[in-house]
Amino acid sequence: MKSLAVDYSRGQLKIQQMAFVLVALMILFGIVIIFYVSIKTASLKSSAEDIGDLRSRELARKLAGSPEFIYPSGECAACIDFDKVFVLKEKAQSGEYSSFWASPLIQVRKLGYGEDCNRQNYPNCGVITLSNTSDDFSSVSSFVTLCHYDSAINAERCELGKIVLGVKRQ
Amino acid sequence: MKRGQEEIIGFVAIVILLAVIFLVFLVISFRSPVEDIRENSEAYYFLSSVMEVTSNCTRGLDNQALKIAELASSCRQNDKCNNDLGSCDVLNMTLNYLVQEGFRPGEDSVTKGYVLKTRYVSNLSSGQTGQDISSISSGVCGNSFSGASYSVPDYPGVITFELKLCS
Repeated sequence: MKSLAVDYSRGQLKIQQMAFVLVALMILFGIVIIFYVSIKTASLKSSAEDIGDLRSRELARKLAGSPEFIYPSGECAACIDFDKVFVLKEKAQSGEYSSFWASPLIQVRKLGYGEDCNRQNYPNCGVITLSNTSDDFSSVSSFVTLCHYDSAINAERCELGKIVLGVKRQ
Repeated sequence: MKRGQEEIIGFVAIVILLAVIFLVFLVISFRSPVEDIRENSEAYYFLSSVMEVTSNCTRGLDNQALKIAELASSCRQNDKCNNDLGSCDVLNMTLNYLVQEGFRPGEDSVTKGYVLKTRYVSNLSSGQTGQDISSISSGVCGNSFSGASYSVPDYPGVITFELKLCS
């Protein structure tokens, strides 16, 4: 009587063994590729965030160079005229320039000072807010130089500051 | 050696080879760089803004207040301010104040520490010469930095401010 058990030849067993090894290798390489791609994707996201951050910062910096802000010394591209911005703030409060900027927040801050600027404490104050129309924004800031005429030294005085810009959330 | 034993040895050799390749890949992927200095736009804008800041050092008959870039040049020549303060002392004090106000380095801050070096480099025909003008630092710095450098002309060379922010 003939046996029902499959009688594999030696060659078939070798082919089967080779197939298992190949499958195992493919799985191993697959895991390695997935691992590599996940690392690369994470760094890509970080790079995209860095570029977005840089663009926002440059936008803020560009705003500092606009005629409404720039200090007219002619040599400094990112020097803000603090006197001019203070006058601009008063004009913004009286309704002029209220819809001039599309940004929900435009603020100029002098580092080392905290209080809002008004006619009593100017120029020894820290914050001038030109526009604050919404709460739904994320803010970016960039370093600038704030210059104004100082009667005590009869010359211009420049201090370190920041221009803060609100960017609407997508 | 039996035929089965030979196959097992071959299989083990392949596995070991693959394991070595995988380990090399892992080491390359996760190797911490000795010094990772990324160009930081914030640091660059900080330095470019700082150059225009007016210091408390006045010089000359008209008591003109020096800007940071001018103060660094004055410090290089070991000049004194009109109020008898050393220009290097004023430079270090002012730069330290500005970095502290700008980045607020500390344990709980994103910026754990900083190093700010000011150096003069002259590239004359006689050869390149360098001179350290000032170096201030604060906080704890690991292997990872981000930073920027900014140069201002100071005839016949340039003064370079190099800021490293430690995270």
